[in-house]
Amino acid sequence: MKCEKTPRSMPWERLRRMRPERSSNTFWKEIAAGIFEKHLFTDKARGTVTNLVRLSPGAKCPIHDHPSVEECYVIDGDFRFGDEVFGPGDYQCALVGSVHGNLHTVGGALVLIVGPDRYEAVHKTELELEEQRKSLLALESRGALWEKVEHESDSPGQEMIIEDHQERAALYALGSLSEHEARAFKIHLRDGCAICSKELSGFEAVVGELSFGAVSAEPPAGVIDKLLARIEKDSQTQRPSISESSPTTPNSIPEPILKSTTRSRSYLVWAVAASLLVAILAASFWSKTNSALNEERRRLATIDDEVRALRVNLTDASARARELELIARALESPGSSMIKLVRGSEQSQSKDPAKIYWNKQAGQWIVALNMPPPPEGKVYQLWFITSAPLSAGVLTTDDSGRGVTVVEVPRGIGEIKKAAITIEPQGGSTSPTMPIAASADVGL
Amino acid sequence: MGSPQGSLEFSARDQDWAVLIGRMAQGDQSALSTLYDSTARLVYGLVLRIVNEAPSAEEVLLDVFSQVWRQAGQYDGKRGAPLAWIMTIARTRAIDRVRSTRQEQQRRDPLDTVQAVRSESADPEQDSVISERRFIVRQALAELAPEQRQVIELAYYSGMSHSEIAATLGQPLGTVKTRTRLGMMRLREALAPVLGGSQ
Repeated sequence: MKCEKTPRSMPWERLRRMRPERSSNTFWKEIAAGIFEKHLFTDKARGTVTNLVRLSPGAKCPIHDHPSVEECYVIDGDFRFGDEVFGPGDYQCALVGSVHGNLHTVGGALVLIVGPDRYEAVHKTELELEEQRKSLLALESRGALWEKVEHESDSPGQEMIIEDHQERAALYALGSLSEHEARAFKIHLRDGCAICSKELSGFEAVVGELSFGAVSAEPPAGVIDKLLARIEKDSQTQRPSISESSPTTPNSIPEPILKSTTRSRSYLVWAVAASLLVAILAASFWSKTNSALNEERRRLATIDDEVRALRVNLTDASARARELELIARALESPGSSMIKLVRGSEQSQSKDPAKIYWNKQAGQWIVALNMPPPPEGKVYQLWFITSAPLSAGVLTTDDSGRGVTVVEVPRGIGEIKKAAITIEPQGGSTSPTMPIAASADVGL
Repeated sequence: MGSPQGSLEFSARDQDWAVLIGRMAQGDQSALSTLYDSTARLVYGLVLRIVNEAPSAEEVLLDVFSQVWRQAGQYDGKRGAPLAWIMTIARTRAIDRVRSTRQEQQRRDPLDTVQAVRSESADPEQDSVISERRFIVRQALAELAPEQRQVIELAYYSGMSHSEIAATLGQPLGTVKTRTRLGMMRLREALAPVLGGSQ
């Protein structure tokens, strides 16, 4: 797999040159035939990962769908969605629930992907998929379609996928998925995921049972009377024609008519009945239109939210592209290294709260932080630990605790034994305040 | 508790309620009164626990039973037991209320809500079946790891999303999600005898 393309843009040329022998390169991972991925950053708060993906000439992406938004920025080469060609500098955003097939390159491509940390991946190439499609068509009639798909993908990631299904089903049953995620999950259910619907019905039963957990309480007296009164009122407003079109009692109308001809009486009864019917239909039509309108308004409001979120994502993405260029440059420099910091506290479950990419040539540390946001009025501060701690400065983060900071490593600082991050008051401190939030041995 | 006998009794009780709902669908108001009498304490207890304020709780209680009345005709016994249906409506209405007021007024620390467990002896529940079911649920919750119980109770009673819970607890989102999943799976196991056929 070689990406033999003529250079197109100067800054990215550096990225393309950064291509050591694949066998010795621990950074690139082959995720599918001819497709290599370099993981750059995981944003836990948003549940997204940033990856560089390199496609060999002629490579095809496995079919996958999107449990959340995925952004794609083409750095170099050609990246194709069917017949549509995306070139360097092109940006594409895949929305929730969209399914991607026929994603491929002809001459090779380098793309930056910011997307969900897990996919509902059916890791198949198109050819395999075509074969599978045939056998699935046969299975479909027996209603075993999804079970088969789910169980067939017994890749190493399968357990993770099942866990992911369970997780979303549990959160959905509790109602604690965000509106966005809940919608994506509903689509996923509607698409017929057997695992999810089974998990969900179990979790929904649990949630139903949880309602018994709260201690009973004696409701205020008189609620039942209010309730019955309300029902009475509701039933009348639902049929406005009865109370409005006949202010007198219904029986009193036909009385005098009875004395004239039976013919006109029956005509009048029909007329009254017809006007009643029209009124009832009008009322029910009005209430239906009204609720449809409300529904439409709600839908528009959620679309607005989504557009807003996407705009934020876009600005984020361009900021991230700049950060990534820094990181890529650091990794490219001879003798560069990456230092993973671990949490100082007991929370060992959160992986990689911070990473330092050491650009030895430039004497820079590119510090990528992914910690919980610092407490109100506090900041994260980085320390070089030599014989004594030396401040490396305050690390900037956004609201989600994410951020990339470039730190100059002083010349002649001597051997740095450790890197440590502490929580300090705004502006930073001259000496570290314990405890250490995250640290790592630096070594050489 | 959890004996086959117990389960049978639940379904017999649920059958009574299903009959009442059927009568309500035909416009029988006395059925509503009967249903109210036998379930209002349970519904009100849950609503009060969620909205945490008696006047709002009363309004929500009214809304819940009005909705039960209006939708009696749409109730489908195949999709769940009647009481579970009513309680789902109750929780949904109560959480809607909490969410709308949360934006207006700064709510007190939700953790207090979770810890504000009323004393057991004050429980005015007259229905032994409901009391027994409560005992089982509480025991299952008590057997969870405290941090799992915490996230589930926050989600259940506050209607917070997982990211709101993560922010409230100062925990990473992934941790909150994992705890929720593991806790829910343990509850599902522990409640399997009561949940009956679905597992």
